[in-house]
Amino acid sequence: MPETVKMIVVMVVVTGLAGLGLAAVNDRTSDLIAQNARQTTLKSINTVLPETGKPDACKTFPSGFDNAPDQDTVCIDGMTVFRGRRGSEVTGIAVQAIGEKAYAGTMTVLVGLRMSDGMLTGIKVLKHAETPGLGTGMTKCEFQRQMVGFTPDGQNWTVAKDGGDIDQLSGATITSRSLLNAVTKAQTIWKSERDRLLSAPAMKEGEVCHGQ
Amino acid sequence: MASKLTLTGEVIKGFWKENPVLTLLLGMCPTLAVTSSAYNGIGMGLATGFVLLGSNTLIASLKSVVPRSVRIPVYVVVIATFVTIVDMLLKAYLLELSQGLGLFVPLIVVNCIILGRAEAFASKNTIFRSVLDALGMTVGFTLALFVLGAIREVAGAGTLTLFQMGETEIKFNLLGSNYIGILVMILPPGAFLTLAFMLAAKNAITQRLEKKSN
Repeated sequence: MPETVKMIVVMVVVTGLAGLGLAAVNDRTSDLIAQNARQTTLKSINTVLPETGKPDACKTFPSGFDNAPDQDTVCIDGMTVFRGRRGSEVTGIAVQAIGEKAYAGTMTVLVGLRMSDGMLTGIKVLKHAETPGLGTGMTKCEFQRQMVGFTPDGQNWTVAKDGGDIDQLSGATITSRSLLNAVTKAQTIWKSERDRLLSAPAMKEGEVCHGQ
Repeated sequence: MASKLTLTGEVIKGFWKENPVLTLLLGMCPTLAVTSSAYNGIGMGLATGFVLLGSNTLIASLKSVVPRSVRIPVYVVVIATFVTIVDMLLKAYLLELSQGLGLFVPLIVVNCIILGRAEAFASKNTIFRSVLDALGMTVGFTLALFVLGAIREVAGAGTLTLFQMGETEIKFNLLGSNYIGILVMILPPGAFLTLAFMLAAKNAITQRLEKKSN
C-alpha cells in the first residue's frame, strides 16, 4: 500500500473509532448530566425561596413552593425569573441577575424575593471570579444576613461607604457593590413587572433568555 | 535505555526518579492551577492518570500500524477522545469534582505529560511496559499534586479535604474553626511558592542519597 493511502486509512479508522467510542459514552451519560444540571438549579432555587416567615441567611429551611420552578420561568429584561408557586398562586420569585462591575468581570446571582411584599428571602451566587478570601466573603451567611429578611423599602440598599445600610466586606467594597447591583435589579423587576410575574405564560422548553 | 529496566523499575521510576512534576517539570499548568485543595489534586491526578493509561495502551498497540508522518495527529485524536470521556464521566458521576476542576479537565488534552509519554515511551515500547509506565507516572503525578494541594489547603484554609460528593465528604478541620488562613497560599502565588519548596526539598534529598551511595 502506498504511504499516502496508508496515512489516510489510518487517520480515517482512528477518528471513526474515536467517534464511535464518544457516542457510546455520551449515550450512557447524557441523561445523568442533564439530570445533574437540573438538580443543581433546583437546589439553588430551593435555598433562595424558603418557607414563608422571616428567613435567616444562616439557616436552611424547607422550600416554600410545591411546583417545579425551573420549568416555570419568565424572561424579563434579559433575566430569567423562576416562579415558585403554592397551588396556583405565585409565592416567590428567584431572579437570575447579573451583578455588574464586580472585581473580576461580572457575577451571576440568584435573588429570591417573596411575592407579597418583596422581602429578600435568599441570595445564592451562581458564578463569580472574585478574589478568594476577600470577595468570596459575599457567599457567607453572616454577610448576607444584612440583606435577607428586608423588604425593598426596609433599608437603603447601598454599601455604608456610599451612605447606605449594608456594611461592605472589608477589602471587597467593589464586590459588595456588585452583589447589591444584582439584588437591586431583582427588586426593580418585582416592583415594576408584577403583572408579568403573576400571569405571563412560562417559557417553552429550550427557549433561551438572552442577555445572560 | 529505558527498556533495560526491570518491570517493577518501570513503575517505580515515575514515583521519584522520573516524577513528572518534581523531576521532569511537565504538566505545570494543571499542577499550579487546580491544587487549591487536596481533593482537587487527587482528582486531577486520577483524571489525568485515566487518560494517560488509555492513551499509552492504545498508542503502544497502534505503533506498528501508524505511519510516522501522521503519528502526532493520531496521538492527539486518541488523547482528545479519552479526555472527552473523562469529562463526561466526571460531569455525570462526580459533579463536585468536575465543578472544582472546571476548565482544567478539557485542558488535560494539552498536558505535556500525556503527549510526552506517548512520543517518548509508548511509541517505542511494548503494551505491557507502557501500561506500567502510565501507572508509575500517574502515581507520581497524583502524589505530587496531592502533597501540593494538601500543603496549600492546610496553610490557606486550615482544612484537608479528601473526598466530596453531594452530602458525603471527608474533610478534616486540622487547625480549628478560628484559623483565618494564609490567603496567599490559596491564590496562584501560593502554588508557585509551595512547588518551589517541594522542588528544593526533592533535590536536597536526592543529593543526600547520592552522596551516601558514593
